[in-house]
Amino acid sequence: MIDVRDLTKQFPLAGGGDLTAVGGVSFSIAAGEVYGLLGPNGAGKTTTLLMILGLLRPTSGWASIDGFRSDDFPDEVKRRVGLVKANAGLYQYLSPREMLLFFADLYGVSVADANDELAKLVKLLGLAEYLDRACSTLSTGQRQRVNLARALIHCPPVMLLDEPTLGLDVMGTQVITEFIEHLRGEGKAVILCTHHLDEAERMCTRFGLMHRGLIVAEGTLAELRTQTGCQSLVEMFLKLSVHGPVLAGAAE
Amino acid sequence: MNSNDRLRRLVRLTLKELREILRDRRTILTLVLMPLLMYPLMSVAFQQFFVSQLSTIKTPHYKLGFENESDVPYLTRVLYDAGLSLIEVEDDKAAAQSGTSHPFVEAGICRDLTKGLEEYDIHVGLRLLKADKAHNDPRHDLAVDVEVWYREDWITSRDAVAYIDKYLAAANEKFLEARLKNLQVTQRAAPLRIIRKTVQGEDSASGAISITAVIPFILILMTVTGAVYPAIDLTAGERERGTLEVLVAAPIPRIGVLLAKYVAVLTVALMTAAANLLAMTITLEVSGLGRQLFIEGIPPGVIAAVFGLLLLFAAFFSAVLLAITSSARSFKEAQAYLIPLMLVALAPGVLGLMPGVELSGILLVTPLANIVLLGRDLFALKASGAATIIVVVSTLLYAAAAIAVAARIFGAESVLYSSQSGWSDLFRRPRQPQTSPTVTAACLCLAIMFPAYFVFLNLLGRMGDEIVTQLVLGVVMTAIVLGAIPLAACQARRVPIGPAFRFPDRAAGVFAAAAVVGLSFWVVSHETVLGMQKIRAVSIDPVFMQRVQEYADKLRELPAVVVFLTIALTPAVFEEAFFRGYLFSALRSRANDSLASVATTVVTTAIVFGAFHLIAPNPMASERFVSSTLVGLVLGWLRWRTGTVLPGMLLHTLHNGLLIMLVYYEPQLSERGIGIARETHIPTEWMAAGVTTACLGLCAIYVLTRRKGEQST
Repeated sequence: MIDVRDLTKQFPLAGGGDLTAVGGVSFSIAAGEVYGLLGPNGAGKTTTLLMILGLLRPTSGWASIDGFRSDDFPDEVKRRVGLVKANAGLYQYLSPREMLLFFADLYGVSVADANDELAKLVKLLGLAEYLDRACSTLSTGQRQRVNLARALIHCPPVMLLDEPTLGLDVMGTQVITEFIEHLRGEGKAVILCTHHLDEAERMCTRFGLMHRGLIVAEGTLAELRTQTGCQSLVEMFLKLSVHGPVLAGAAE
Repeated sequence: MNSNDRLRRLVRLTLKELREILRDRRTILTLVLMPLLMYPLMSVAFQQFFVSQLSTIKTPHYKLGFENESDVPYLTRVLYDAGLSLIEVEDDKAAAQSGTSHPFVEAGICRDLTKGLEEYDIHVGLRLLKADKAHNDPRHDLAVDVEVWYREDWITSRDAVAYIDKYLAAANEKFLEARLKNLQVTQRAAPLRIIRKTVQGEDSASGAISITAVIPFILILMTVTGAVYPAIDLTAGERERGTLEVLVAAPIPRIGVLLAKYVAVLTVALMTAAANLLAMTITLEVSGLGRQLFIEGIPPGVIAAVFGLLLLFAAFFSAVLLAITSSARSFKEAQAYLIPLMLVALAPGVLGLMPGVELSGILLVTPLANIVLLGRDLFALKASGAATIIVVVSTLLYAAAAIAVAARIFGAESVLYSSQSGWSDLFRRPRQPQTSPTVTAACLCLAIMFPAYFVFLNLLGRMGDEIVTQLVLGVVMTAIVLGAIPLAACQARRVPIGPAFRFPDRAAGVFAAAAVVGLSFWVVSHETVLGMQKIRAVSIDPVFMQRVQEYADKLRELPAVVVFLTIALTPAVFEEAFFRGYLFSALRSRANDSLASVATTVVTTAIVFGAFHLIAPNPMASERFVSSTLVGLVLGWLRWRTGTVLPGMLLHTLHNGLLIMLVYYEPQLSERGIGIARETHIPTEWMAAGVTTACLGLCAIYVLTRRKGEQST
């Protein structure tokens, strides 16, 4: 479903030279998999997601969804992806209903289908109570639910979740956990970027540990335990940040 | 997705933007409340400043104070007999509106003349010292002493005393004349009579700053206030709230999102403009200022024209605003960017308020200043058609360039994500060579070339009549505007220019066919010009024809080769290089190979080509627009079929060259009985032969390029 090959992104620096944000990462994700792209802040997780979606142009390498490369067919890729970001906002003066139908329209969903999907999402995420209130009056948790609905309104086969639990309370986090369960049940390919490792352990089926723009270890939890000799993701993480990419044998 | 769907989507996107922005109370505040509050307040200021200014300049108003009530009947009578009617205090409004240009003098009692002058209550004080009641009887001697009080340090007081003096002198003369007549002396009382004649300048009546310039300026400022908030909110605001990223993550072209935002900003700006125009019109009508400006009240035509002007301005300014706010990362940053823009925008606006500044020359193409000046001229009912066309065309070009820049910046990677780089990266020279110029670059190029071309044309007009200088400068101008500017743009973006100049396949046949079209198409151009003249129902100005004749005579003093090279070959080569080379490639760079898309490119380049011929200071400009656009269509089609500009250059050179040589050899041709007068139709058989040959040439090109299919480079 998702294929990433040697994806690299360099940003030109103001004083000359380049900053390598992602230094050639490769992985594949099948339908029904929840892939945890984990790493400390600045590891290159978000940049990788944005390149998969075609919002950032890779310096080299490529990413594809359903065989469509994001640099050649950005619209085909975007059509197949739902994006959830921690800092994604809502339109203050629109109601959740208006906003969701607007996004359905952007993705080319017909009015009838959009209304059907909206009804399902209202039920799934419990939006009924505030569906017609202005978004500016919603709480943080309610906003996050609307955002999840927004990402799903066009029924994408791929979901990219970038720090979806950031700033949420226990209840809010539980909603996300259930939401990811739902996505897995629906057979969607999911990438979850987070540095909340305990959550990742519960939610993901496979992991890619990123550090300084490289994937330094990859596999299921069991495989990673064998590779690293650590029991929990937290231990692996700490080892990773001390030793850097030594884990995967890649020299800096 | 076809163009209908695209349009529908644009409408839906725009409606969403509008819904969001119009639900925001801050928009309503600038839209409704500002004009409601501002204009009544402003009308007070207008009344105080402009009406008093109008009345002091048109009809000075002097206050005359009599010290004693008992002096009033006598002095009033004396002044009245001399021709000066004093006005009671209550009557001054009637006098102000009577339309007289004579000063009017208001009279009243002032017990203390010194105090009255010191406190500016009166301009002149009169005190009667000694009077002879029987002054009307010429048999009696007359001795009247009058004291006239005034302030030396107050200009209106000095003017007033001079004015009163004039009548007192006239009264004196009258008394003396009556007495001389009584003594049977024929000599008149004043042997030397001075008759003063004044001439009033056209602008002097309206004072230092004309209210007709202030009104459009205020309307423009108000339109700006209406557009600024939505422009920031829909770009930088959206980015700050985190909705921009999910918007660009949707499968819609960035330009579509931006256009929706542009239309929304433009709509709000126009709603603000309309609200302001309405409030302004009502204020002018209610306060009576409208009747002071226009005797019959404000003509509806002027309101419509001013609204059209505001539409044009809003189209331009909204684009500039979006280009700037798109690059801002937050609301605050956008505001910081806009402050210098506002100051820059104010400068040419203020220039438009200066008296004596004419809408001509470089000012015609100076952004904003040209709109303010055109607005002033519209309000003063003296706007010219040619100036209006140039202002409209140049402003639309600037707007297109600004939208192109905004489209490039809006949602761009470096603006959206990179904290290391700014939007200057967007204009950095690319590391890799590019296949073709971008539409943005072409729009920017046009926005630079248009005023540059115009400035050159103006310079050319001032360089005197020396024909060689004119021709040399013409070549230099063409080379710089149509050659150097696009070439620099190509260099900056690493665009190779070679591909547009390659030899076509089956070159010999294609060139021969292009030559055939070039040598025969002139009949169509000639008839188009005549046809347009008939439609416009204008005959060519004889003065202009005279000038053309003189110019042709001067050309004939030069060798034919020089004339051909300078005014046929050079413009043809450079115009093809730009319009069918650079511009055509830029428009094709993002387009597909469908017939509709190719047709759009061909038609667009032809219209821009025609518009360039429109701005020449020539009374036949609009005729030339149509004929040039027609030739442009043929040349655009040829460029598409052959994939190169070279056959077009040949066609263009021969087409221009033949028309010019017909003029050059006119005397020789007439001698042999071949006369082609510029204002008569071509004989039908010539016409038929010309059109048939041109069609055959075009068919040949079609056949020769057929197997290559719908290719474009």
